[in-house]
Amino acid sequence: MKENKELLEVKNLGITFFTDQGALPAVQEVDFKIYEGETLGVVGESGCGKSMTALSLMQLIPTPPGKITSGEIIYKGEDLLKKSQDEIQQIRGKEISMIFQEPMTSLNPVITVGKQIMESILIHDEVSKEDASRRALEMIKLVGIPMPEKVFASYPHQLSGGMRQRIMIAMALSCQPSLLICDEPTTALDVTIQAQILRLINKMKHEMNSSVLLITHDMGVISEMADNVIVMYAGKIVEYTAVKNLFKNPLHPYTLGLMASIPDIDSDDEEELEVIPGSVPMLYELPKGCFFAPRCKYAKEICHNECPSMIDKGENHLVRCWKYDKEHGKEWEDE
Amino acid sequence: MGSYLVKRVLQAIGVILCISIITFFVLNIVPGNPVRIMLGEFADEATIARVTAEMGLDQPIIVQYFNWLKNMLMGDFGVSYFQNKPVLDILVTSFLITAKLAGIAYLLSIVLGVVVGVVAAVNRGKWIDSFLMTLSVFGISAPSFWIAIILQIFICLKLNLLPLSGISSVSSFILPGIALGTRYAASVARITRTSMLEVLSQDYIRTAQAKGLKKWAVIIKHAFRNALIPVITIAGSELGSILTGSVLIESIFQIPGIGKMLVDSINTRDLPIVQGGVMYIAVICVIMYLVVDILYTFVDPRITLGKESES
Ligand SMILES: Nc1ncnc2c1ncn2[C@@H]1O[C@H](COP(=O)(O)OP(=O)(O)OP(=O)(O)O)[C@@H](O)[C@H]1O
Ligand SMILES: [Mg+2]
Repeated sequence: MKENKELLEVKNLGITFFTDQGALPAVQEVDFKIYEGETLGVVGESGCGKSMTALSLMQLIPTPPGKITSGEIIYKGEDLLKKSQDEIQQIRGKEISMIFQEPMTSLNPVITVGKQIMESILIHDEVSKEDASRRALEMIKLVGIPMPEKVFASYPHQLSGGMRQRIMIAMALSCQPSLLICDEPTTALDVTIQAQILRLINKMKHEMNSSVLLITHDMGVISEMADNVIVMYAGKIVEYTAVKNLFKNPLHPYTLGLMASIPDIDSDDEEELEVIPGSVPMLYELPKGCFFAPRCKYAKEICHNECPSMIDKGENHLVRCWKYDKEHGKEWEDE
Repeated sequence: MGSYLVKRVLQAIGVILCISIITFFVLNIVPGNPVRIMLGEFADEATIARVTAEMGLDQPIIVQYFNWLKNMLMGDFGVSYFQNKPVLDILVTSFLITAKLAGIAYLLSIVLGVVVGVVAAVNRGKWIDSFLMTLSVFGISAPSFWIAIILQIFICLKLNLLPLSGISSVSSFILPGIALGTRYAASVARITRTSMLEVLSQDYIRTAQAKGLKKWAVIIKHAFRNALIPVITIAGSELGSILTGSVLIESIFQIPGIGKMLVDSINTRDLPIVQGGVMYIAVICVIMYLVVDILYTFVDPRITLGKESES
């Protein structure tokens, strides 16, 4: 991992949804760090808690029914969960910004995009309207939008999805945040636009000197963009390491499954894509032991009875699997 | 925007013409010769024929219609059969009274309804929400005449705070306004609440929060304007209902408004007043709807564009 200054540390984060079906643990025991200038990738299947983890950093979890039930979120040395609503509002958009999955619906339909960018600036910086408007226009230029003046005065419905996501990026970066959270920023976009948006995020990250938390379910995106990566499964981190390590030496059986399901364009033979058998457990019927055990071809008795904690395999490679436990790991050795 | 406006104005004119045709022909089919009624039972046939000719009532009905329309366009609504005054003067006088009543009721319904709806939505599921919504069910189901009578009994007779009836002062309009407006306030409140809840769950609200906006800034600047769109529709269509609903309230509170005057004129078969009155109300309603539609384009930029790209 990069040895930069630490920007954010999440410790033992737990998020629970209190619903008619009972208390659903959407996120459990999540620990990670983001360093200055780092891009931390988060991968995992739909519903594994990626968005909730991201939203919790800004305390934007839908409450009720959701609630952060445990943990600490240490940002620049201070626990965000201990801050008042007022203090959090000063951090949102200024220190930590977010880009969402749905560019089509994430902008207010009745306000021009220029005004929406201006608003972000006016909330946090004491500048005149003219200055804010000038800065908003600059941001629109910076994210590579043609005819910025015209776009400034446009309403969201007059812009394409890719344009709107660029506007979202311009808005999120208008106050030069230290951390930019991108929650599947390209999932809703055309394939051709996806690469452009990712490149833009990378470029802006370097220009603004920000860190990025990048959520995706695309391993390809992770390999291109991220420094470190978290693999999540059913609300828990199962593997956490540098991207290089993950691709060279994936450890967790779930990660192995994810890797095997990446289509390999270079290979000629009609090799069938491997699919992980079974499906993600529902939150109200999580297994007792390791959440992945029911689908895991390596699972032994211990896996069904007890959930392992994160095991340090050295080289900053953390994995939540009994196979790599000092004691229990022996059971797998002769295979 | 321009072409949309022209289209809407043409539409409005079409609607008014249709109403004029229906009004005119329906009222002229109604049995009973107005001249006979006007001159009394003992008038001789010659006088009746002379007056009928004087008033143009012997001409073909189509010609009568066009004459009537042409005169109306020039501001001449005819002369009342019985009051011997120009119809327009009578209409304007009584309409101004109704307008005061309807205006108070309308203002009450919009302001109170919107405030209650927003407060309920923002406090969704809390006791204040349940309380306000229970109150609104009550408001919708209570008949206006019942509210009127209850108000008269308590506020006027028991507490003696406001005048019981008549139009002697501005305060005379308060109770009738409340009686007339309550039900619409309640329905505006319910629509506003539903619309606000819908909007508050939208992605762009989360975006606004993520910017660091304060809670009420999010509600007012981002949620409210979007939530207003269906409220404006309801508010527009309610105007007509309030004008019609005022007939009942006007008679309970003895207010000489256009509703009471129309009912009286129908009883006496004072055709020019009835025809003119219906047209007058129709034109006002159509204009109000037009205003609402134009208002729409200010609140929701998507509407204008939709129309433009169509044409
Ligand atoms: N309002 C809610 N009520 C109950 N459960 C919820 C609610 N919102 C989210 N959840 C649960 O929280 C879990 C995590 O959701 P989250 O949105 O973080 O998933 P995700 O990893 O971002 O998935 P995706 O890739 O589809 O965006 C899901 O299993 C979901 O069922
Ligand atoms: Mg998500």
